[in-house]
Amino acid sequence: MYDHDENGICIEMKGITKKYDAIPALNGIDMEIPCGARYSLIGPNGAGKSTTLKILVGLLKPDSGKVTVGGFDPVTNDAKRIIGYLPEDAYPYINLTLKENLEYIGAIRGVEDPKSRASELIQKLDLTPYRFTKVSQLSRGNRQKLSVALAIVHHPKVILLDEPLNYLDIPTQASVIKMLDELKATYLVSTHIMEIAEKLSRNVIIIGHGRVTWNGTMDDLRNMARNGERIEEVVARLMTDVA
Amino acid sequence: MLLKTLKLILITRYSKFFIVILVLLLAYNIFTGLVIKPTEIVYYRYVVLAIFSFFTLLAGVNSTVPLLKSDVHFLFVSAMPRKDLILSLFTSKYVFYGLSSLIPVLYTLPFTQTGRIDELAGLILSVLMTFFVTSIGLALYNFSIRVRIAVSAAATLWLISPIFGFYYSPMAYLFDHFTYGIIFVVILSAGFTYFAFRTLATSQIEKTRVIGSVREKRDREGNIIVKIPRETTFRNRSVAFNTIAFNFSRVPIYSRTSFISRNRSGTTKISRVIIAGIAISIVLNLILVKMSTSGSTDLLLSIFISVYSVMFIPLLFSQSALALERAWLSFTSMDPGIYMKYFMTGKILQALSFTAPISAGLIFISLFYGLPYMGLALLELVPIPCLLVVYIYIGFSVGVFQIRDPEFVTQQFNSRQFFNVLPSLLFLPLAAVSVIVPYFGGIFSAAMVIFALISITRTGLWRRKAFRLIESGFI
Repeated sequence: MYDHDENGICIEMKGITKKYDAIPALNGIDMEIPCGARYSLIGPNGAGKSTTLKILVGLLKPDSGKVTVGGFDPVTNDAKRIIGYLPEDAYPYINLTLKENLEYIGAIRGVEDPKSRASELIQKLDLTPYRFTKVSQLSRGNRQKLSVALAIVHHPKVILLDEPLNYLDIPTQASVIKMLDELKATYLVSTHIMEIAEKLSRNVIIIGHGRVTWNGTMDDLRNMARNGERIEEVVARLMTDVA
Repeated sequence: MLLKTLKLILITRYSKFFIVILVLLLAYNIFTGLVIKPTEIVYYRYVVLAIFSFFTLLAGVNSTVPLLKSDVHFLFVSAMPRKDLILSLFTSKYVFYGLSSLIPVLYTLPFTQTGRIDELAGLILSVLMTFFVTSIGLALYNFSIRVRIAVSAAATLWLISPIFGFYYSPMAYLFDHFTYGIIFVVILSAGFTYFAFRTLATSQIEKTRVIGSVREKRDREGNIIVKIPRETTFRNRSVAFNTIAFNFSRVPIYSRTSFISRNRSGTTKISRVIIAGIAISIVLNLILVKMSTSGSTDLLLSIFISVYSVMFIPLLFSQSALALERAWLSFTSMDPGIYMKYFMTGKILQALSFTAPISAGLIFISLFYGLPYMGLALLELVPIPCLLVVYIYIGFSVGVFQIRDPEFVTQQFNSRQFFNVLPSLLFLPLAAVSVIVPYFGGIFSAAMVIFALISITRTGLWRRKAFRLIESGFI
């Protein structure tokens, strides 16, 4: 079913609604992301960014609407095989070592040789000195690097990242971005920091009050600037207009 | 200032629900303790002894200083007198370990003595013992797990030694040897309380405790060059095998067992749980043999053990089961319903590893002392591990406590968690009947196996529960 065709649609949400008890989180989200594209999901706190990602990864079921990832319902194993997910403030298994985390998740995700894949990612992310360190004793930055590695251990084709560059210093941010660039995948990155959105994507979806309020490219945003406005100010204006 | 500090420390460590429950139990047991004047005294000596032994072992092995992250950020940097903080921290520890051991003792104490003066002396000694129980939970904080286990186990054995006719023990006061009781209780409680306050006075929040064994790589001169934890290797086996093996091999500890603490959450290896099961089996069977009269079972004691097994063993293995789980990794790797099937299989096998040695010992002594021990053996072997399914289901329903920050675990016992205990009430009479009528035990065991198999294979049910869990913030 999944075909990594640049002309195909890899992420599709139609009329998605979701309530937590009586509190609405999503009020009819619509979005289509072509395969191979890189999108940022931007919005103020409580806009529904994390809920959108949790629905896309199959951790939550929407109350209504249709959602597919790579053509599959996200709750199916077919979808889980192609999706990589990193939540905000991710904590891997705290009582396993860095290497054990990668090997275990590789193993249960059906990676052919989890040991080699773990070593490869450890090397790529400069984590070799910490490979035998338990997650509970890792610094926040190294824990975040491990979390990114866990999200991509199974070579996913659709990658959903929630604030992926949190806690990373500038050189590490660069190495993580380089590694993500090398993967031929579709990205949806949730963030509220425009600088990170610019680094990781070319397209932007702005959501507010559980709906998509704007959808376009980074260049569109730059072109909307009035009187030398910075891109952050343009986005802030778009968010305020909606509110 | 002391009262304000104490209030702050107590309300930040305990939920109102927990404090209310403690106060109600305290009031009830003081009342019943004063009113009931029983004539039968034999068994309740053992109840008092069992309670102090249990809490000594629990507090000692799990020795922690009840500090929270916020204490370091706000209280340690304030100008408040350190002695107020130390006294408040000790009191907060006493509220759990001291009162939890005192409450049942108050209820049973009148059973142990015959005259008013003895009663008062027994009560004073029991109160002193609660200080010992609290203090051992603080005094051993700076020691390694091996030392904590060794000291706690030695203290526990010393406490139970009067059962075997050794009266040079603090608990001798329960067996009409008041002089030895007074001498040893006073020495123990005073000594350990002193060391507990010293520990609190010098405790540093930055100190971390490493759980798990570490292999050291040394150079030719014997210097340590790198410390490598003993690792689990995930070979190229099936996904089901790896998932079950992972969930079987690591037993979560420290996440629920100490109620108040500044403790690191952790896991222990299944081999240690098996060793604990064997040790308990040996002690338990020795006690049962000692208590059984020639050729006949001690039925009351067997029922007592069955009731406590049903109440505590499934709770022990289920309460922390999901606390260290990571839904963003496990539930996104496969269908949550299927993951939970493997997860619960691993957890049932874990509980079985603990109860199997106990069961084996009981089967052995049942050959000499009759069928009720066989009923108890069957109960430990089959229904108790199967009960985990019920407990995990209830846990899912009332909300799972997830440990995210490994350094500082704030644990407040709330009313929702209380519901975890309720299923045991349903199974208590069934467990007791299984011991009295072993044939019923066979039917009960078969029913529990069928129930567990049907339950864990209902993937749709667990999937729905998993979604609900994520909605409540579990990630």
